[in-house]
Amino acid sequence: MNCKDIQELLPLYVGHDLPAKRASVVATHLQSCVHCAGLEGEYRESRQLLQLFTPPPFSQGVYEGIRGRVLRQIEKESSAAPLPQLFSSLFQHRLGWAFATALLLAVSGFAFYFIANRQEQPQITVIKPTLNGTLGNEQPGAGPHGPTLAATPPLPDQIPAPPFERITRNAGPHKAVTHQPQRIKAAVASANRGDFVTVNSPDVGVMTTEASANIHNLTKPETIPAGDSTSAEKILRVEIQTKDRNIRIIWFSHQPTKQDFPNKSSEGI
Amino acid sequence: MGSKELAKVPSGAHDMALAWEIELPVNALTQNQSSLTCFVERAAAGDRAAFEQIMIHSQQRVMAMTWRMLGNEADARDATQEVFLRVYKYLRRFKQNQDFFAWLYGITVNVCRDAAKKRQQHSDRFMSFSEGADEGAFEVASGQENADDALIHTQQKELIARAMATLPHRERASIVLRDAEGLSTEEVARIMKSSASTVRSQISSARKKIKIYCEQYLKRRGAEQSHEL
Repeated sequence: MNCKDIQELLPLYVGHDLPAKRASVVATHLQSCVHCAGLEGEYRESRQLLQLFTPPPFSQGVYEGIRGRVLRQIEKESSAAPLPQLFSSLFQHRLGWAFATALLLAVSGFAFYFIANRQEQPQITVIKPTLNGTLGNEQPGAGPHGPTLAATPPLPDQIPAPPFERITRNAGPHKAVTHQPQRIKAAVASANRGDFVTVNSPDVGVMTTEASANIHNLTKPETIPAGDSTSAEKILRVEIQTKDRNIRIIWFSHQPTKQDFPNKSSEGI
Repeated sequence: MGSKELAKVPSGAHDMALAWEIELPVNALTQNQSSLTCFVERAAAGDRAAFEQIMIHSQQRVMAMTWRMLGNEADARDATQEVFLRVYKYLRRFKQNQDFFAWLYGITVNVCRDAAKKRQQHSDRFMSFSEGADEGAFEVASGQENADDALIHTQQKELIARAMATLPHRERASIVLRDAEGLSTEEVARIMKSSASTVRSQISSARKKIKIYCEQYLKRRGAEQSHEL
């Protein structure tokens, strides 16, 4: 050990805080090194100063005053708040905490299970124009998976104009559709071909194809008047029931053309 | 007054006042560990008279410790009061196989830490240790024969107080417990809830800092005095 190592150990050496083996090494070094021995003396002096660091003698009045205040405070607390004390004593025990935690976990698990099961019902309806050129109309409570096509659709002049502008401007669930027009178009095109349609969207959830049973019975879409009867644009109407039963997205699309599906024939779209 | 009479020490504030009047040996009371254990058991069961006995047994140690940690009587009194309130609050958690005074020192260290934090938030009073100290704490003792010796003694006391004030809380607590209260490193480690090697490191660092502070202070004083001459 050199002087630097010894000097590191000196603060502990003067307080007898070193193991015997190391202390003997330091003692041997101090006998031969004047500089380190001088440092050791300084450490001893400063440590002796610590012995002077004693409080002044406090009178008995000081102690009695402390005891009196403590007892008064205890008395005050015990008489003032019995109910909080009861709770605090209950939760001082580990068993109480364990029980509370288990109860919380059970309630959260039940709530999660309940909510998860409640949201599993599929909610999509794809309504396509009927043969006579009208839009399919929903019937409330038609089935567990959403409404079916109407048996007797309304006349063309009774159909309200499709709210193209309003859909794109409004906030909320409509945006979900407008953000993914290509996917919806593809879904509609697939429905027209008689395929099953499944559209996954983070905003509207999983859209199932239960309504495709109705789509099978349909033929090519007819021209639907958009806004007024003079328009020649072909319209498809897609209704999507979101997870929230109060929100239904109604989407209108023009008839997909070759530009939308360049690799496929327009036949069957 | 022997140990037989200590066993008969009555409980209750009035009885204890009587005990003070007849001058029962307080040190002997403090050392009587078995009676202390009995008081702790009774106090944990809600006996306030037994709790008062615990306070009487330990108040001097707690007060000395808080004074060394905080540096003045007013703060030491408040901290001591808080220590005993916490003792009463958590006495049910105390295990009978534990060392009561180690447990008590642990609470005292925590209370002093909180008090120092609170005080630091309000002002930096602690940095000037002697300013915060109560009047007379560093005064020359009147009974000393040699006035010069008394003055040197007082200056040294003030110097060490200033040096202690520069230490971080954990180092100060470690060195107070080890060098002033005379506990072993292992006991200090138990109180501080750390390892013995950590405590050794803190003590070593504290001793170095105190030595350096004292050297610098004395050099500065020497330079000032030579300048005045």
